Amino acid sequence: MRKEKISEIIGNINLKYIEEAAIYEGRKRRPRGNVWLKWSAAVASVAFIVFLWGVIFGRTYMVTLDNGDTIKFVKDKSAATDTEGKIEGISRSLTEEEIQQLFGNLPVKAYGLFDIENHQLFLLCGRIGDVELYVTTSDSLFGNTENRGYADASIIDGITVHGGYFYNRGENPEVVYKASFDIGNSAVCLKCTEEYENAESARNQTAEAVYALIKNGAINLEQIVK
Amino acid sequence: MEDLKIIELFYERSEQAITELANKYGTICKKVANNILNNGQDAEECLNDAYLGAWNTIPPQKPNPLLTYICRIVRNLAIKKYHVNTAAKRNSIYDIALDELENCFPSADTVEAEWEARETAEIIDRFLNSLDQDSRVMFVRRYWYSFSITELAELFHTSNHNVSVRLSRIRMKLRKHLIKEGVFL
Repeated sequence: MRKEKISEIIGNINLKYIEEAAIYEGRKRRPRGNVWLKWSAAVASVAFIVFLWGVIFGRTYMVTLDNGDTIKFVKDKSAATDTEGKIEGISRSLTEEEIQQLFGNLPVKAYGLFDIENHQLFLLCGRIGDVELYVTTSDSLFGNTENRGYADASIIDGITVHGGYFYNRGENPEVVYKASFDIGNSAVCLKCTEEYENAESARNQTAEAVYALIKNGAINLEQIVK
Repeated sequence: MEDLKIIELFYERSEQAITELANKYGTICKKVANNILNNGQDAEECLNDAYLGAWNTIPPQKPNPLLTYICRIVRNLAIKKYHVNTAAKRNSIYDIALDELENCFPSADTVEAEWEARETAEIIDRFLNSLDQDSRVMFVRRYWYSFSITELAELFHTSNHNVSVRLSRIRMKLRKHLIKEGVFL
């Protein structure tokens, strides 16, 4: 009787909500919000958002992976750039269990940014070995593939990978190797910075991290909640 | 075809009205019936009865929106049929959803007042209004349309676990809201 009454009550809710639910087509993936903890994109995106435009100079380096595929790193004269705007969310370190859920036994350490509304993880920042790792489900963070990638892409196990490198010419000159790709619902960006003389090491580490992540499979960030 | 055109066909007593109604809203109506009845044949019968119900009530009714009108008829018929069919066995998504919801309605054992369904529904409307759209849609799809957790996970591009957790949080909020409003059943 009580259940029947509850059913009757629910049956009497306002028609506008019934209609809204019927015509709803799916969750928007882009996180929204007003206040809460705000992150400047500069903090996170310096490392993972690279818009490489312009003419490509210099040599293209290649690394052959264990499966025989080759990843290309194309020289670009531009450096990393920040995006405008802010990323909003709630941050915390990810537990070992959560990292294992996402990356199996890969040597990843990371913290995450969670959607302020549904509390799902939408941005992960960390390291895989010595390589910086950024993963997001948000379309807005990396921009589209063309923007964040390089003209000359590689195919690794069926996944399109955009690899590149550039030099930071300062007091302590460095070389920065980067790679980005989409896997499952997530976009991944990797970055490895080394001194000039260790460029090969940076290149190899980046390539190894790309291959390890692709072998690991789809990264479903949304299974992790705040 | 637009709802108004379909209603015009009903008013003209054209059987094409039923065809158009079924083309436009048949899928979601069937899902509602099936989720409650857990039986394809019963759901089909229920759907046909609902179309007949629409035929008999339009005119004089001129429902706007037509979608919720027909869905409501389907739901009411499906629940009625469900109670007739399944006095002993209870295994539909509707059952499971109702079990979930029952726990968040404070019991009337200790109080004298019992609330009328319509009055309580208005309180739930206010609660729904306080939720963000995603949560509201998730709640209504679960407890009005009797969608399964898996169907919701697909709709919201997330995991079953996440849907369960979110629904559980919404129910906890609802319970608090009902207690605050003094609703007991």
